[in-house]
Amino acid sequence: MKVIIDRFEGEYALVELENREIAALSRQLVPGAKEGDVIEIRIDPAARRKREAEIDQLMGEVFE
Amino acid sequence: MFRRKPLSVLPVLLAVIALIIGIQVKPLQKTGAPLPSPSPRARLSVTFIDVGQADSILVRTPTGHAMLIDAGNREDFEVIERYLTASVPSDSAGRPKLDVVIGTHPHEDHIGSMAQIVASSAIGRLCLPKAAANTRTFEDLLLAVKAANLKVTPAKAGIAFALDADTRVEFLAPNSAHYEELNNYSVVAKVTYKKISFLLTGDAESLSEEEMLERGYDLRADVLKVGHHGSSSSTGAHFLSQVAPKAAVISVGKGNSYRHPSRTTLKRLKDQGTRVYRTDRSGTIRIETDGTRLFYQVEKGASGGS
Repeated sequence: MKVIIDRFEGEYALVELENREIAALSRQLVPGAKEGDVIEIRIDPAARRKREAEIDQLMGEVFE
Repeated sequence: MFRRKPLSVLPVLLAVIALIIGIQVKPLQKTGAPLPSPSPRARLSVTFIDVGQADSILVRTPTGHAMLIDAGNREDFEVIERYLTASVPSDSAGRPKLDVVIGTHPHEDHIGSMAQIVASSAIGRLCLPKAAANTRTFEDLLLAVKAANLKVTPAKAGIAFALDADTRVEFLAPNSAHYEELNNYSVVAKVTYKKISFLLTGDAESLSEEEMLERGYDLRADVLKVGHHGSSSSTGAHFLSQVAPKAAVISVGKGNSYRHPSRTTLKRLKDQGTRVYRTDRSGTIRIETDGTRLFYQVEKGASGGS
């Protein structure tokens, strides 16, 4: 999904969704972004599998 | 239905007492019921429509000419439309006749419903600053303008026109062609009816205020629409002292997440002795003038001062 930054207010970036609704994102989610920037939001399955493997290994080390 | 109280020139103490009495207007039975149509008397009315954390201002002259400045968020179309239908003359097709429509700048909280307004009204002249936004909201507005066969007048400081024989509108900003932030492209309109002036500043921030001061414009106004929902990035002390308004209106959403209006701005207005009205407390606010005095009407009988 791509969202467009309409404006910044206080701690928030207000983004326009594809259905034209406005949602507030924490500014920390879009470091360095400016008004008019297009932000892509997507799920990353490969990164998820990598995290699962890392956590699984760590759990194997600390569980009895 | 409403107590109308002219703003008297009294010592501060008496003014405060008058304010406390003056703001005890009777609330309407139904919450959210719009204010009735402006009085047919020879008065200019400026209605600050309660569109939450957004702006929409309707100016109506005693001769029935109308100007709309900003059109709230996307979900505010119906409330704005209600005011247009109730207080603006219609053309033969039943569409409200708006001599002038101004989008102060292309943020969604100012042009959210403007595409729908363009599609459903008879507009004489549409003014926008020459500033682009990448949103679909702005694209929709451009498409609506195209479909209505309108051309946009690029708004900038120095443009002036008459709404009727007694009502003059002058743009005091934007003064530059390029800004980092869209807010500073805001069209600042000074509306003068006989001896009374309204300064309507959109979201103009300190940078634009400084430019207006440098240009030496006559900023003095009886009523100030406080810039950028009362945020601390607008309404600088020097700017405010030059405007020296008797009354100020802050268009702001109840319990908004941005801490608007800021304490700094409220304190500045208080120190200036300005009477403050807020849409989050009073709902829709209408200020009328006969050319020498001001008359106030609010939708909700909540505190109009702060």
